[in-house]
Amino acid sequence: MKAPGYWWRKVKLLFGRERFAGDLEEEMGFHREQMAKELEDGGMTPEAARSAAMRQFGNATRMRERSHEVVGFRAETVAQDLRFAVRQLRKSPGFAVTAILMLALGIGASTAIFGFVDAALIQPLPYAQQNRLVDVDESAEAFPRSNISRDDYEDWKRMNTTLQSLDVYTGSGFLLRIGSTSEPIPGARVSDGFSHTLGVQPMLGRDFRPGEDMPGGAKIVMLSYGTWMTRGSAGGDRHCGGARVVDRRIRRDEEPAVRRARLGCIDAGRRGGGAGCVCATGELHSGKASGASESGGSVAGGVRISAGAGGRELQGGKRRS
Amino acid sequence: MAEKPELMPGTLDLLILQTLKRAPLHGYGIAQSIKRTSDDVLTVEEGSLYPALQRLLLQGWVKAEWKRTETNRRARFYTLTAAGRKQLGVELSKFERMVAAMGRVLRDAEEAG
Repeated sequence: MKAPGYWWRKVKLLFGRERFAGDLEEEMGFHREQMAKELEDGGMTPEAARSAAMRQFGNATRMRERSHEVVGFRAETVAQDLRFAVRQLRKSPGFAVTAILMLALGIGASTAIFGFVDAALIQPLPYAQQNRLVDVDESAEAFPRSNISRDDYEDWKRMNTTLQSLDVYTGSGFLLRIGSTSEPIPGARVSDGFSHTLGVQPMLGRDFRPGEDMPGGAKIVMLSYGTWMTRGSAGGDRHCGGARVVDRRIRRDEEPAVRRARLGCIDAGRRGGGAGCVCATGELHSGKASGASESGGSVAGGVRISAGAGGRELQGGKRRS
Repeated sequence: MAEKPELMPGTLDLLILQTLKRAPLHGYGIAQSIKRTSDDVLTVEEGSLYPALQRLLLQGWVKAEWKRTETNRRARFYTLTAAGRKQLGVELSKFERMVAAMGRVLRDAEEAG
């Protein structure tokens, strides 16, 4: 229990530290002198009496500290510890640099890992009804999550009764040429209903039309929001913000001729993952004979009835969320 | 040399307050007075005395003044305040209750044994 006025006296002492230390010093000096005098009266030489008194009195520094602890605030000792720590670090720079570097690396690595985990596992996918999106794979003993062939995809799609829609995609990269510059950018080749299955719509332009993913069809590109903003809007001729991006000619990969491509921007690309992404269609197996042995990519499906029903009937189907 | 009994925890404040009840004293005087009055049984360590005095000052139970001793030395004299006098009563009754209780326990143990 603190008596009334306790904190007030403590604060007053905070601003009278020097006086407090002086008083304590003089007071303890007086104490030592009296002890020495008593010993002298007992028959000791003044010299011996003084050193005996010193011994008996004990560690004066420790005693001062204990009195200071009584009147001091905890924050003061923290500040003292901090000053001491800084002095120690300055004294051994090698240790300081190592310690700081290790802390920096540790914090950086943890942040990076968390950033990845957060985006991949904690944050929901940036799509409408993301809890009803499933990832469907071919499953073989040696390869539990293998890609499927185009023919299988078409069969699955035709015989599908559990999923609202079923579309296919494969990761890829393209060389995007706008104007006179080219740069490699990550992208995905998708079937025509892909954005419809994800539940996203282009902000500008149009979506892929049904049948536009057939071999030999026109090659159409849809830019993600990120690509549109960074690569599209950078000055002059390359400016493709606004409506001008639609119907722009771009050259993709090693296509022999400049083709007319229709561009759209996927709104969902705004949410992180889509930065620097191009979705293209009309090119699944382009230039190759489509056969049952050919790998066509992974399938994304939207569950029609419920995720549970979809998961049971589609053997090996994996839920993304 | 026989070992001196250690001061019971929590009794130092009580001893200081009681000592100051008779007359204002400086730190050394308090230590001497306790030693003398207890026939050299109780020794107040300087290491505990001064922190305890700071504690009592903060609580407002004693106040300190620099005065001259009979030998004309400057010394810091502690005086019991009104609040200190009240606190002394509280501490005393607390201590008496504890001693009485201990006595009962020890007697009881003796009889049973």
